[in-house]
Amino acid sequence: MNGYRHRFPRYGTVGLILLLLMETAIFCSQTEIFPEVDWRQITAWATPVCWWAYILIVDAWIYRRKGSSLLTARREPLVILCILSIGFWCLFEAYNRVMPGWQYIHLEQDLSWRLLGYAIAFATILPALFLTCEFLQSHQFLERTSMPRTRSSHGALVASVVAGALFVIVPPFLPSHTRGYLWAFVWVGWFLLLEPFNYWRGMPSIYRDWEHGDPSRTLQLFVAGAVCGALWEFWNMWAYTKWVYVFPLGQDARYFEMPLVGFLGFLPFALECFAMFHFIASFFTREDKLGI
Amino acid sequence: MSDTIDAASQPAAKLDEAAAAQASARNLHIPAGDYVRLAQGFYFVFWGLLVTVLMGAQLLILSDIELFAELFLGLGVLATAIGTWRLYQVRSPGKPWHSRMRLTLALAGLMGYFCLFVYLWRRAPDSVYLLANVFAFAGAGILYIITFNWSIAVLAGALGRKDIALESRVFGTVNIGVLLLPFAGVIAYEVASAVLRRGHLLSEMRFVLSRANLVVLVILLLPFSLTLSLAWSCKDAVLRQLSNLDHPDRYGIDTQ
Repeated sequence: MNGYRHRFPRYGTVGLILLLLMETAIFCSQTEIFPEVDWRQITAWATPVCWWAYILIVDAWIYRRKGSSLLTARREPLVILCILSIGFWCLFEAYNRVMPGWQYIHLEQDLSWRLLGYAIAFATILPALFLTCEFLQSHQFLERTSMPRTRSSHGALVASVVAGALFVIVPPFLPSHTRGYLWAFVWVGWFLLLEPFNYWRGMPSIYRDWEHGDPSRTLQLFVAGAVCGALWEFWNMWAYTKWVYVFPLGQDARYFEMPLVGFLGFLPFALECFAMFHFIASFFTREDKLGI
Repeated sequence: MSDTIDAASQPAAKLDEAAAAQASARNLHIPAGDYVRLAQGFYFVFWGLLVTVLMGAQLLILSDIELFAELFLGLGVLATAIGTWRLYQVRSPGKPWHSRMRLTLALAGLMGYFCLFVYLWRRAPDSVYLLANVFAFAGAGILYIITFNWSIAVLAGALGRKDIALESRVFGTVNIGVLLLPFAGVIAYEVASAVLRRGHLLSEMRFVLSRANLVVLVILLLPFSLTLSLAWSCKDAVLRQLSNLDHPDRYGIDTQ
């Protein structure tokens, strides 16, 4: 018994082919192969294409492992995830306007195409993160871990809310030359702010996991954040339309375009997305729509 | 003589109306807890919307507002969202009410979301992206008002209050004509100007904002005040129903 009881779905194969084609285009754009083809027109779409291909592949793999996945059995949550993903990232883009952290270059001139590109790309963030986490869980990765039990007292939860509120509200109000240094607070702040509400309202909660001495979901989300972060930067590096980092910290040591110190932000970012999703979902249902 | 007769008949008419309303509510089996949630919800929505509309209008026009005063916008939106959530928790008036409140709650959530952009826009007023989101905040607010009115129409119908049901339908329709259509027109004009004349979206939006003087805003704010008055009268009606539950024999109604 190897744990793979189901057939690999066709959409997974389509994802693999899409990814290979885009990687080939990126390779050609960086070399002198077929110079008569304007590869930049294709690699301008590298981020959305690669990430949708990644989602198809990982979802297919999860189906092969478990016999159920977002695309096969939970399409409604997938659509909601995509919509929320656009909404969440637009919020961080708003922060980015006030406390510059990154810039997009070689953007499409036509506004409607540009907006479409933004939407397709931003819609992949949450599905990619949570599918990666589910993929890890389907392989029982970091499943048997433990930690000392924490106590989520009312005072501690209120302190978390207050700290989170300060972290997400204060940075944009500080003098402009200091804002760029404060991204770490924004990446942690939304988690601290919203997670206590998930705990109080009986939704899936990281704080409750810690209370039970179970850090597995936290670690899996950390790994999912790191994996997606690594791939975000990898596929971004040679794309024609891409982002570059402009925040003032650690520009010397880099992982592709990303200053290494900034890479740490991907870990709490995954927790933050988890807390934000369940916070929104809690107003409409008490079911665990994510299943991770 | 006729005055005397009218005056004498008024209490009886009120009694009939109250009795009919209570009988209708009793048929629905609305528990007391739901009445409390409804009253709290309307109370929060009333004060929340009032503060949101006043602060939102000022933040759009005036640039030199203290940070302390700016915070009231967030408080107003938060109160509106809490009130809407309390109303959404009430299930007994039936499925149509609940599905409309679900939409209203989603719009309150959108208002809360776009409210953050208003603060960020105040820090970076040159950003087209942030200004566009500020307009989205205004759009979410207008849609919220319309759906809130229509939700009340369902509730008032279920409670047997035809007067409030009619008012809320009329106010909802007025809001479409006075708020939504002009707002959609302004947005369409801006986008068309920016695209056709290849103008800058930011300058087009600034042009519109510069024309939005206080008189125009007061006229535009009138529909909001109609909705606020509706929320207040709903709160009163609900409290009256709740009070009748405590004293079922006040209007001579047999509760057996």
